[in-house]
Amino acid sequence: MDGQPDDTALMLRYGAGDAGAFEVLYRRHNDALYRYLLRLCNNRDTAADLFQEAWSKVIKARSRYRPTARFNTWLYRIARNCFIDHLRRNKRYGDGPPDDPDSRAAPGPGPDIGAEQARAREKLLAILETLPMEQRDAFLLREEAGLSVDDIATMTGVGHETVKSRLRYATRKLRAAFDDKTEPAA
Amino acid sequence: MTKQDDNQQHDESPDGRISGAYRAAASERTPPGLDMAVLERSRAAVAGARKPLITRSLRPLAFAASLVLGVAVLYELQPAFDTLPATDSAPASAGPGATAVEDRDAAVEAAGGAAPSTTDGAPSSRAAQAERETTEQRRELAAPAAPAPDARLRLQESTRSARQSLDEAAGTSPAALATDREPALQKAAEPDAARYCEEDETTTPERWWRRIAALAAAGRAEAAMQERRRLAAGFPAFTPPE
Repeated sequence: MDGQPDDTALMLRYGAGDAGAFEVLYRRHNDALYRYLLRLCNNRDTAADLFQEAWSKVIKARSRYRPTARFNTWLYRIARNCFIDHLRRNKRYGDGPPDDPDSRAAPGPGPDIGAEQARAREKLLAILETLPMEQRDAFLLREEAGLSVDDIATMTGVGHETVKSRLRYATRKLRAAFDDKTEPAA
Repeated sequence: MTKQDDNQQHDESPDGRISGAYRAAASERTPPGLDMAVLERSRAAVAGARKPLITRSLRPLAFAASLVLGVAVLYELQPAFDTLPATDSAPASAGPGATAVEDRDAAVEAAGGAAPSTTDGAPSSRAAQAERETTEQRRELAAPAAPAPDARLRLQESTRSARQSLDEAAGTSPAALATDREPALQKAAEPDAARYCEEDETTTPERWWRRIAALAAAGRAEAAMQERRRLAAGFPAFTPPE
C-alpha cells in the first residue's frame, strides 16, 4: 500500500470512531463500486440507491467488522447482496428501462478521446449489457473489484472452475463483438 | 490466497486487451452528491454513537436531580395540604344568600357555639339558642324582602282614599255602598297586598304576635319588644293576648 494504511486498518480505525479513516477508505473504493453497481443494474438511479445502501451497511457494521477477509471482498459482497435483494424486490415489475446509452458515462468523452475509441467504448459497454447476469457479475468483480477467481467463487457460491468458465465465456463474447466492431467493416 | 496466486489467475484471464478496453471505456465516477451523502452519513454515525455515551453517563445525575426536586416540592407543599379543609360541601348552585348563611354558621362555630351533639343526648341551652338564631337568620336571608310597615300603611291609606273617591263619584253614602263594593275593592286591593305581604308573618296581627312570642322565647327580648312596637303601630286595634 506504499506506506498508506491498508483497508482493514482503516476500517478498524473507523470502527473505533475515526471518521477520517472512513473517508480515505471511501475514496479508494467509491468509483469502482459505483461502476460495478451501474453495470450490474444498467440504471443510474438504481445504482445510486444501491450504492448508498451498501455504504450504509458498511457504516452500520463498523463496530462488528472483523478482518477475517479482505475489506474489498467484504465490501463487494455487501453490494452484491444489495443488488440481489433489489432484484428480488423488483422481480414482478422487471428491472426498469436501461439508461440512455448516450448518457452512460458521467463525464462525456474528452477532446483527446478519438471517435474510434468512443465508438469502441460504446460497443463494449453495450455488449456487456447483453451478457447473462452471472457472466457479467464475474467479469465486473474481476475488473472493478480486482477479485481473484477464488474470491469470486466464494462470494458467488460456485466452484472455481465455474467462475473461470463464466469469465471465459464473457471475455469471448466481448472480444468477438469488440473485434468485429473495431475492425473496418468488411 | 496469495498475491502470486492472484496474479497467476489474472494471467489466466482470457484477454488482457478486453480488460484494458473496458477500463478505458468505463470512466464513470461517483456523483459528488452521492459522495457527500455517504460521507455525511458516516460522520453522523460516529457522532451519534458518541452522544449516547454522554447521555448514559449523565443519566444517574438526572435521576438524582429529579428525585431531590420532587422531594423538595412535596416538602414545601406539605403545610398547604395540612391547612386544607377536610371537605368542601358547598354546592355549586348555592346563591350568595346561602354563602352568607354558611359564613355566619362558620362565625357561630368560631365564636364558640358548639354544634348540637347527636350522640351526647340533649344539646345545651346555649347551643340550642345559637341553633335557633342561625335558623332564623337563614330564613331571613332566604325569604324575599318583606314590605316595611310604612308601605303597608300607605297601601291601606291608598285603598281607603280610593274607596272614598269612588263613593264621592257615585254620590252614594259610604254605608250604602259599603256592602256592595267592599268585595270588589277588597278584590282589587288583594293582589297588591298579596304581592307585598305574601309569605310574611306580619300579614295578620295574630301571626305577627306569634313571631314576637317566638323571639321572646328564644331570649331575644329586645327584638321582640321592637317587633311589638311595630305591631302596635301597624295594628292599633289589636289587643295582644295574655
